[in-house]
Amino acid sequence: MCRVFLAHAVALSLVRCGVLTMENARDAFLSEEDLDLRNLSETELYAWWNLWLEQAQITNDLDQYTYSHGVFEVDPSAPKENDRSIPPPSWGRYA
Amino acid sequence: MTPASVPWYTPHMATKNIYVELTRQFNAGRMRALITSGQAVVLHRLAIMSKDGDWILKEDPESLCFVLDVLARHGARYRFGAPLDARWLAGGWSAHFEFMLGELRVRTDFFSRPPRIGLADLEQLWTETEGQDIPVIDLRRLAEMKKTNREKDYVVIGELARRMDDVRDQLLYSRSATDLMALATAHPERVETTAVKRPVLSHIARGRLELERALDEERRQLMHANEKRLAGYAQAAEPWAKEWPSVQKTIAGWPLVKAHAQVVKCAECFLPMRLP
Repeated sequence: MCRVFLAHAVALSLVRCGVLTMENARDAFLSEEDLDLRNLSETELYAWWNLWLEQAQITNDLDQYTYSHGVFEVDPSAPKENDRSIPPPSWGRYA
Repeated sequence: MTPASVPWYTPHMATKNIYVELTRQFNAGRMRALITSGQAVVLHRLAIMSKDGDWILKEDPESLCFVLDVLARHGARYRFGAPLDARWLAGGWSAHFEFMLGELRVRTDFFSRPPRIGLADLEQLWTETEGQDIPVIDLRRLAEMKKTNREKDYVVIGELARRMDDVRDQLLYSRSATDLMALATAHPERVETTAVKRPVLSHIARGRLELERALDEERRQLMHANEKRLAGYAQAAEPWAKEWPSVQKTIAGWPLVKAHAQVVKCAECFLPMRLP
């Protein structure tokens, strides 16, 4: 797996040096790193994807009561500002 | 960064992904679900920018029951939302769940009537994705779904448009003034016909600055339209939102299938299945 990350780092540096061809300069919506997903193998994509998901867990407390999609935006269980009497959800497996 | 520096890294991370695995589990035996939204953006190799999984589901009872069972096996619990029931999903509502996979919080959001995609187009989508190993929404329909009230989604639409093969689709979804002007130079006849569907294209001839202003205005209009759409659902869901803390307390600790029956029973009293 070290080769996966090393290959990606090399690819990025080649892009930055202009060795790998890039699209002509135009409106940039996403960064080079984002778009570089295309150059990854499936294994590399999964590795980065899973790593990103793991790292993104750090924001779980911030979005505990919000929604990213669908027609709902905020969980009504969300504590009102300064109200810490509602505990976070407890977990348990029911399977 | 190497795996050795990441203490929680394990080799299996390179071969499996929870959202892909869930999709395969949902579709065991037949097609029931296809990935959309943030994880579809990953599968289209654009960017990794979302923690949650979103699926468009088939509305038939077997599909919904099957998906619920898969979620139950993962120890999922209901989040505030509509029940995973065709009566509400057909009204445009969404159902939301989450579970823990080790240290990973996995959120799974479901709907059967994606916004801005008509029923005939939706049927066509199911036909096109039938048999795929990891069914995922296509670029055009994904761009349509991304016309939300969030600024960041228009960034994604811009890049999705650059990946589209069809010139008409590029004209319909591009967020770049320079891209549109280049397309107009290469395909002038397509601009006129496509401008009927997307009026902003008529600003191409007025130069880059005017076109950029028109694109900004278009984006604001789309955002306001989605805000208005969501406001309708928010208003209709107010009684359900008030009841939800009590429902949540009741179902806490219940197996998902049992919790689902209770959520349905309560939602029948407090959440309209369709907007008026």
